[in-house]
Amino acid sequence: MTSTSSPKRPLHSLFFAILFFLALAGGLEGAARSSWAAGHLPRYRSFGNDHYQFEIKWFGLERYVARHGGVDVLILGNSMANTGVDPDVITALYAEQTGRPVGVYNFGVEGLTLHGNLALAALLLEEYQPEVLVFVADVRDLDDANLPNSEARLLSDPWVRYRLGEWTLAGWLFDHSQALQVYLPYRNWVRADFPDTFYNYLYRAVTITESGYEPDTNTITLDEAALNEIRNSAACTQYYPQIEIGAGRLEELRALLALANRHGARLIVAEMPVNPVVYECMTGAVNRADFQQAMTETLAPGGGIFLPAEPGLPVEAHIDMHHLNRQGAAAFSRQLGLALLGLYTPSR
Amino acid sequence: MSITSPLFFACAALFILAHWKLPPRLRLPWLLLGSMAFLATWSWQFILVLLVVTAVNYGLGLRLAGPRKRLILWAGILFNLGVLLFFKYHRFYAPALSAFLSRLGIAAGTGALGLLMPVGLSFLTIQFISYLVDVSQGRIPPEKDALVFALYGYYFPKLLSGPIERAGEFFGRLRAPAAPSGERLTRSLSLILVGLARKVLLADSLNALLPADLFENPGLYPGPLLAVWLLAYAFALYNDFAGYTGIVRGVSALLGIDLNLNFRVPYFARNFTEFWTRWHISLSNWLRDYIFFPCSRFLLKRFPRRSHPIHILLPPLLTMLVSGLWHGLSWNMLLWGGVHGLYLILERVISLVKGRRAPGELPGGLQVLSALGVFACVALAWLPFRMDATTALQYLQGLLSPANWPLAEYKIYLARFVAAYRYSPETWMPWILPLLQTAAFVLPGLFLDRLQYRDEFAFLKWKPWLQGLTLALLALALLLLALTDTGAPFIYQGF
Repeated sequence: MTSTSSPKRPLHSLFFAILFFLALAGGLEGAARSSWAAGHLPRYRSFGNDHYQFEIKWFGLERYVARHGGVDVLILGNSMANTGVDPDVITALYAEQTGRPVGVYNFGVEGLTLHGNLALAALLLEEYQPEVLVFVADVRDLDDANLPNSEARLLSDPWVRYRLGEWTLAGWLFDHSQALQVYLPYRNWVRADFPDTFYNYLYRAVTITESGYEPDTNTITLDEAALNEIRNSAACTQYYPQIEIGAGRLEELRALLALANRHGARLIVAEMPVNPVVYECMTGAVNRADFQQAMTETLAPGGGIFLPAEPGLPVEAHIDMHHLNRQGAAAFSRQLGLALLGLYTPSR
Repeated sequence: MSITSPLFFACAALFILAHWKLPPRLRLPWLLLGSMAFLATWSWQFILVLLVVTAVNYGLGLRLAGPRKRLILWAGILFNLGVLLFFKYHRFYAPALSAFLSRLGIAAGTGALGLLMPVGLSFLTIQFISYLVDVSQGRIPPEKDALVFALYGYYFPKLLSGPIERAGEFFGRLRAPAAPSGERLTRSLSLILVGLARKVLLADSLNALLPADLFENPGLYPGPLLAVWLLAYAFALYNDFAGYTGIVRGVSALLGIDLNLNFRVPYFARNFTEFWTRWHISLSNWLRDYIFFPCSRFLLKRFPRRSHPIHILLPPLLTMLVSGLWHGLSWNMLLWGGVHGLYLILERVISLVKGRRAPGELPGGLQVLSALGVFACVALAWLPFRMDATTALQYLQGLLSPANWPLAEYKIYLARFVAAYRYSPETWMPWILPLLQTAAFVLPGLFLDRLQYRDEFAFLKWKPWLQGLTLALLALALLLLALTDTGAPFIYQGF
């Protein structure tokens, strides 16, 4: 450790370091909160969650509420809800039938089951006080064994944990710092795959409508060969026959209902009109009637409503086992809107 | 336990505080205990392996004071190399050994031989070999204190990847550690901070910007990107290892034990000989003293005429081939060593023809050009260091083939970037971004190198406000980069 240099006073350096750090951080935060930033900085923000579709929806809802003064109906669910329900169809239906505006936002998040949606509902009810929660579900939501990785990652995210009441420094910083929220969408800029992932993010941020609907861009038509392929898939031959209705999930459904009731919101669970082939796959202990019965029996005592999927959506309305194409989404949204008309009148 | 983890720093801080609180007679046992605990965070079995290796070398060292030195020395060298080969290269012999054992009726699947290479074994092996050589030649007396000798093997700051310490010097530092002082504290923390900046800020980021398939399928990428990424890799490798060395030297200095300098701004070297006095210095010195010089002396006895070509060819080539083999028993490492051997031979031939001139005597412009030339050659040699020979050749072809340099397209992308960067990022970003990413980390790295070129602690001469500003910027950069998933183990830990 030989050197010609002699160290200056280290505590002074440390003092200056803290001072400069606070000044830099404060300056950046001030700049991000300034009126200039509102006009010049990119509108994309993030809480550092790697489930960026969830974040697009979160900030989309924030903008939606700012523009419309609130949200009356929140659609929850997974990717099936995301691409399957167009809130604009429901809004138009209300305007046409009642002449009253209704605010509907689709908060369907890819890879979330009932388990994840329960956590999400707590956040959304607290933040936006909607009058109705519509949870779009299928039999997999009641399967205790259905635990997608994406859901686990989303729920273990520091910001989500912070918003759910568990204090984390990172969560607090991401929640309160506008400067970090502006930086976080670009946080992976040093990675080789950044351009690819960022375009995907930008593309989806633009494609998802103001009311949270992400129309499916597939133009697949399911012919008999494709349907046979589905019938022979592992999902159909192995997963569906083993599905069980889990006590844990039914408990979570009751918790979701209680949560909605506590916030004065009505919970409606809408059965997703999945591809009819799925019902052929349910050859195990649980069939569609069991699912519908479990839903009704769990929801009814607490005042929740279960809406079974109406018949009438043809195979052509689907792009795969579970998701609807644009035409299918329009039809399902209309069905859902009509059912809602009979159940809910906005108080605003 | 990774030495960049907050847990390591927390444990090290507590360990160092306790170390200085203990009575002096308990400090060496405390160091050994702490080192073993550190090793156990990797695998407790490593403690046993090291115990055997250390005990055998300790015993051999004592025996070297008696008769039959030569035999004992060779037994020691073979033992150390054997242990290294057994653990490091078991993938090569395990299948054959399994087959042989099963032919004998002994069931031994390859899983039974699935050995874990003890961390730092390559580094330890050559340290023990040099100890035995030094004792046998009377340069140092055999170490009788088993505790001191055990620490030569186990001492945790140098355990994972060196620096490679000479036994005589290290024993002395263990016995008479430097007393703690404000100045030592400042310098140690400066080493740790610069090391962390090099590893976390520069090396991890540069590694993260390399595509996952770059070193498997370089043919997928155009020449300009291959060039930029090779530059990024060269600086990532350097900052990774230099960063590691800085951190461990800083931690060790806090314990009062100075470890050898390992890097002295190597990419500023103006010839290859100078490069090897600046890159992985502790290994280079070891190779010089235990391979190059003995080889030269041996040849001089056989071929007394100094201008004999064999003196120019063999010592550098053999030294660099051994260096390659030390890094890994593979053709590509042999190629890497061979290429560096050829560089050195070429340099010696040129200096014979044109006369030897010290790099500092060259005109300024020529010094810069020489440094750039040396860097380019060193960077090209990293190709076989990083990938197998065939893929390295593909990389080289992609890099040098004019057809793989679509410059006209680049002009278009550049124009788009300048004119309409907001509107069509998908067309220019994949082409321009790697350059910007690399520059963002290579340029600060070069600035740091420039700063440390003459004085490793130049940072400490700055005024406190400037030090404070630098630390604040560093902390901010670390905070922002910590939000990226770029964590990577130290590259040299693999050796």
